[in-house]
Amino acid sequence: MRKHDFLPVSVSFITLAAIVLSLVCGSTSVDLTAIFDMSAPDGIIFFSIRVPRTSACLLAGLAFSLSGYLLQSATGNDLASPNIIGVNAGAGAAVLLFLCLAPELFWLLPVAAFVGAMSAVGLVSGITVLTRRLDSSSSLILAGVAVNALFNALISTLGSLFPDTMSSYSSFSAGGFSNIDSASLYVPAAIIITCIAVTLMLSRTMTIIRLDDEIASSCGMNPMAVRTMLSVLAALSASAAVTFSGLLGFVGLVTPHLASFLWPEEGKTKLVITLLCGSSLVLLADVLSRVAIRPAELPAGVFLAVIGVPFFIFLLLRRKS
Amino acid sequence: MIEARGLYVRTGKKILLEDISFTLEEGRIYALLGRNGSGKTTLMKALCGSFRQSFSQILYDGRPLSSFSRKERESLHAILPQNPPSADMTVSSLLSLYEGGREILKGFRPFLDEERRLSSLSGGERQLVFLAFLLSRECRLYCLDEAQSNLDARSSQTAVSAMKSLKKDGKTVLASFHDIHSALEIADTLLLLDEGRLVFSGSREELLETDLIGKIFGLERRILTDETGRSVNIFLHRAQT
Repeated sequence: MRKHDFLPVSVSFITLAAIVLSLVCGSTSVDLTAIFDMSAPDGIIFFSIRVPRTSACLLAGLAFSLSGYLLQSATGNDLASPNIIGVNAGAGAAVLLFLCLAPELFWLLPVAAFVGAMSAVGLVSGITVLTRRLDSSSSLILAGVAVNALFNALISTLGSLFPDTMSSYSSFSAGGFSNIDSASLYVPAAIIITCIAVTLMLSRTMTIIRLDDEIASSCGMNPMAVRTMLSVLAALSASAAVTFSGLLGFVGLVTPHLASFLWPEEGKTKLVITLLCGSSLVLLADVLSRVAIRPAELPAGVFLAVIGVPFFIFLLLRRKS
Repeated sequence: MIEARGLYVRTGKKILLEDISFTLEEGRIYALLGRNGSGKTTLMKALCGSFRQSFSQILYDGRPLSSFSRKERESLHAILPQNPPSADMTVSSLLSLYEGGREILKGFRPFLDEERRLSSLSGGERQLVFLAFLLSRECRLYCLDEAQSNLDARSSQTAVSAMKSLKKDGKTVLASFHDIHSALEIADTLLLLDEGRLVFSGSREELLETDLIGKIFGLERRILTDETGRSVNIFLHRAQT
């Protein structure tokens, strides 16, 4: 057994521990021995608040880390992630637009989010292809800045036109999991799990596409088609999560690098470690958001930004060196 | 048998390859010669499926490339690019993608540290790793784009041995060379490109009967005799002669 072989098991245990923490910690601590008494407060809190919230954190962690992993493979750029290139902002703007115009059709939110996310991917790809520098980090990031600005302008406009719908915008923008409703998770969960299953099947293809187009073509692939498919999967999973978690940032950027540091080999194991890291990170950020200023709450996105921003700067510095 | 029939490649308004026809047979090494920008890399990329516009002009046993499925194309051709990519992945991740060529690969083991990342390797080390990757694939056509350009003398010899092993296994090898002497020494057949057109296809002797090397590369041929009495062709720049 190699020195790294125990790692997937260790990361799984960390995720499991984060799930347990998320279930028991919060503004009120839950006694796990009393949860099956549905007339007691602990039972009600556990099943109607903690379980949906923990599931939401788990799903959001899976979705954003998957999206980052896919985008970094599709673009060959390790700075690509759903919030950097505007996927989150695109999905968020579309969700808010939909809520403002047709709130009664809330079950169609994932479709609206996907359309917004794909618009962002399309715009960023268009700008970078026009400048013929798809793999250039500066071109991709600058295109992302422009697309982010565009969708944030749309969000601000909606804020002025529909102040009632936008009252909860600040928490949506920062990303968080307060007031999660189980029903809002069913469709996104199905989308996210499907995306994970498809990505696991594409694991070998993704390793080859990370090399270059010439080699990918010689391996029988159509590189443009593969990159488009990976981008669609990335947009789909991130947009599904945005519908219930808001614009949670930095998970998609940080976790593929963390997984790469822990498990250098490409393939399914690395993908699973990325997903587990993403879930653990979001679960722990959410626990911190609940206990930091108890009984009040901060958005989980605040804690993710605290971890993510220094990491992003570290990455930029490492690239420079 | 692999055929290019009227192969034509263009990007935008620029014509990269024009009306190229030739046949490659199994168990032979073909050298591709030409000045920088003559279309050597483009020709290799076209044969390895990089230009969908030319799929119908490339035939494997009479079947156009377009009629093969993605899975079938994977076992037709492999390419070693002139500048292998420096992706952020380990050498072992790359070499575990395919299972073939285990015997040939044994010769590479002393040179490869499988724990290292491609991005941390020098140009020569990366070229050797991608040569090993090329050999791990079970294909019919192996294209090597200036495989020896970044290699030291010892590694370069490993690359030559690899080409000869592929030939022995009945594979087709198409390699472009920076150095004409290596091409003349290794190849069974030589293909000469000039400004996107094929201007010569034939054996070493046939090429030496022409003045094409002089015309295209500005080189002058000298014949030296070594101590065993063997004649050796040396090409020198006209300014040096």
